Amino acid sequence: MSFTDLPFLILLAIVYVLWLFCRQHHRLCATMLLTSSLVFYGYHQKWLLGLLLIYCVVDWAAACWIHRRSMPGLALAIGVVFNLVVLAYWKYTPLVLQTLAGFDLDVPVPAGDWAIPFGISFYAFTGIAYLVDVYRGITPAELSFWRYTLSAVFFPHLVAGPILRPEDFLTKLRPETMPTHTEEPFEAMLLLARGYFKKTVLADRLAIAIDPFFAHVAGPTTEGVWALPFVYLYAFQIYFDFSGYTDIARGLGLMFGYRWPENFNLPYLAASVQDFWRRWHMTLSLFLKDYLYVPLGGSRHGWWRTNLNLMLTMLLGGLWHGASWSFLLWGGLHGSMLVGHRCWQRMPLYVWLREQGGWVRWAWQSFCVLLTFHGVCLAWCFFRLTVLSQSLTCVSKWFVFDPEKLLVGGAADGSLWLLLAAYGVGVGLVRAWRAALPRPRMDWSPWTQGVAWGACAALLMLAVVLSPGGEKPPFIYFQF
Amino acid sequence: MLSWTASRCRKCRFAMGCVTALAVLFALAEAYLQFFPPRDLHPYLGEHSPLVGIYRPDRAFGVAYRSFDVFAADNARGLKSWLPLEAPPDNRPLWAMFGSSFVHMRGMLADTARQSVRDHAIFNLGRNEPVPVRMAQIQLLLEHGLRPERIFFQIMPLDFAGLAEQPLATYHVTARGALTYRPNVPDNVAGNWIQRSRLALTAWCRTGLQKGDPFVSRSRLTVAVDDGLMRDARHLFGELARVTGEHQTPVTVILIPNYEQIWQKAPCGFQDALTPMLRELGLDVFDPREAFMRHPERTGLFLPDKHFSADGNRVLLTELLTHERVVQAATSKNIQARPTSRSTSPSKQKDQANAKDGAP
Repeated sequence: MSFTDLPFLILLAIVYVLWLFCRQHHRLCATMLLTSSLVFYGYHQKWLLGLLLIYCVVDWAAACWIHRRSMPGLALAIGVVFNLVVLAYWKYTPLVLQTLAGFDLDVPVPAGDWAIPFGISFYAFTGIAYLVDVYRGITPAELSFWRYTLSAVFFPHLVAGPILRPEDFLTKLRPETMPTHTEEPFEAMLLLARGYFKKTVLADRLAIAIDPFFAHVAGPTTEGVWALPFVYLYAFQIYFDFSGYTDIARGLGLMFGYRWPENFNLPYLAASVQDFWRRWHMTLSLFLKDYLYVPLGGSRHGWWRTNLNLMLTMLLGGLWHGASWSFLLWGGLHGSMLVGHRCWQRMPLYVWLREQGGWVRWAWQSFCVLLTFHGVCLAWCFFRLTVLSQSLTCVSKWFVFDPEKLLVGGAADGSLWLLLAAYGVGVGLVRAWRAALPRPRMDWSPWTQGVAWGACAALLMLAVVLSPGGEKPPFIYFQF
Repeated sequence: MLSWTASRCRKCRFAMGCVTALAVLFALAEAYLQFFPPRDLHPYLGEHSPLVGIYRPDRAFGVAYRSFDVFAADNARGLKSWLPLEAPPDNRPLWAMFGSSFVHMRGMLADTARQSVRDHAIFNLGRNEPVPVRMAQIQLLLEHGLRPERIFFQIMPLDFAGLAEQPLATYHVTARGALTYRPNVPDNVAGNWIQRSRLALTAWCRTGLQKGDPFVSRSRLTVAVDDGLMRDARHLFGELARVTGEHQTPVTVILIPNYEQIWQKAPCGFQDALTPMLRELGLDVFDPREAFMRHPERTGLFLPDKHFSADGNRVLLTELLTHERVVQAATSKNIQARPTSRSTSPSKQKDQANAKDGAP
């Protein structure tokens, strides 16, 4: 099920009403949430439930073993290896076999309909995070299998995150901590409204406008077409699609009383790639840092080793996204930009510019934001087009300037640019307005509260009304 | 008393804030939609639609081409080797085929016939168009000199889905030549509002209720044809019979069974409903479903996209040729009996149908 499917909305309404009735009864409530999560995941493909439950059994058993302190290292290794091997089997088998076939080896190449269980990367990572935290003693092992399973499969975060640590969710499922009321109803409503608006009105419209270009990027129909506007639009599409998903997930979490970490913080205003990764898919960045970069040695072994660790982390982060060498290249590009930024930080000019004030500083910051955005856009070409030759063609078309084809097709749709600009201005105004309002929200005047609730309701209604008709594009991160 | 008044005042202010926010955002959305209506709204905006086209309103088919020239320009590829129509380069008798992708797509009926039927030239435009437009094409082609020995007009349940959703009565051809539809709105204040506000119309379109018949189920078309659709079908085919009759060109309507009917044994209510009506109008009907259903290798008849495979098209053509031989024989008999009559009268069609029913 997807958050934009009608069956999901029906399921959500039923689950929420049931939750309101049984929230005081811990066991009943947990059973109901677990059942609804299994319905959510197995709605289209029931066999996926078997895979999901095997993951839960192994991770729960490994954590219990670690808890007993009898060869905990072995238990951790078994658990982590299981998570990674199963993930690798589903995600990388076609890539490996196709690569081997490319070397004229006689291997069976899987058919084009090889289906990766959706969300497998997310629940595998959640499992690894749990096992490592139990091993490190950061969190105690959960002895109740059903409670652990609920924490792993709870439908709002199951398919595309945010990637949760045990302290974000698992520890709040215990009888004494399980919430019995909706946390911040206004914020929940705002997140849901914003998330649906981002997905249906912005991301889906952008997808419809730019998909034909990317589908024929190397074909004669896009000969001479300037690629950069399409890449810009894709950058916004993926941002609105993924951050919209996260907003909905967090809003749903709040509906049931759970507050989960933010995943995005205006990433395209980052002034460096390092800054970008602090603002984009923040839970993944933190995961990679804590469970990959730091165990590799982090920044503890000198400048060169730090660069190597950064590069390795980004390469593996890229490969995590999908079974294609272009994802590896995407990670490699980000790794290179991070290393490049570290080199730049050592230069005297960088230090001098950083110390400037006034318009010099402002101009320099603006230049950095623009440069970072274009660096990220360059990497998106390898993310969007998973055939390497197409990615390279797309990049080469950044520098094609045929005056008659500068803005054609979806990129020439003025309504899209206007919508993006209006959204940007709207976000800016709302942020300024909220900054001027008193905290906490209880102190808002009734009129202000009414405006806030009315704006949320309007946004939610407009998300339905202004969505493009016809078939809805799926969430991009569902494929990972 | 004071606290009750204060509480009421707070609620009023809250409600006013709520309404203000709703009004402001809806006004912004309305302004945006006035300038940039979404694409799926374009066919329902009447004269305000940004769509442009090459059509004009037509009493017979609901829509017709503005002129032969715009039709020829629009179908330049299909017509290229047939112009001028009065003196085609190929001297063989002509069979003209009209229909959906089952006729036009590469390797489908027209291609298969072109390869197998050597004594006839096969004419087809190579493009799928809505049923009324196909009929308008026939009228225009006949009026401008095309002289086929026979016209084959292929239809299947899916071809009528568009007409079922948007009956002829909802057709509106704009001054800019685009085919649009009158939205189905309630006959009250709400309907008035929907027609005035783009936001309301967009919301109405999101529900799907703007369609002429919003409750049409495409899968149900194989089961039965409802009265409204039957009326439109009778009107359209009646006009087709009139137009082709004026040009003394016989028509065979090919009722192609779809994948579900052959493979999943879905009902054939569509064919059963149309066949008597078409025969009553004087049109010859070819319904090859039996040949497909009794075929020993039914899996091989379809491509994965549910079009006919090469085998499926061979079966279709073989059956069609057999049918044509029977019709020719019956027609010659009738000509011998009544040598002056060339039009296809209903009684003659009934004879042909009887001849067909008795055919092997």
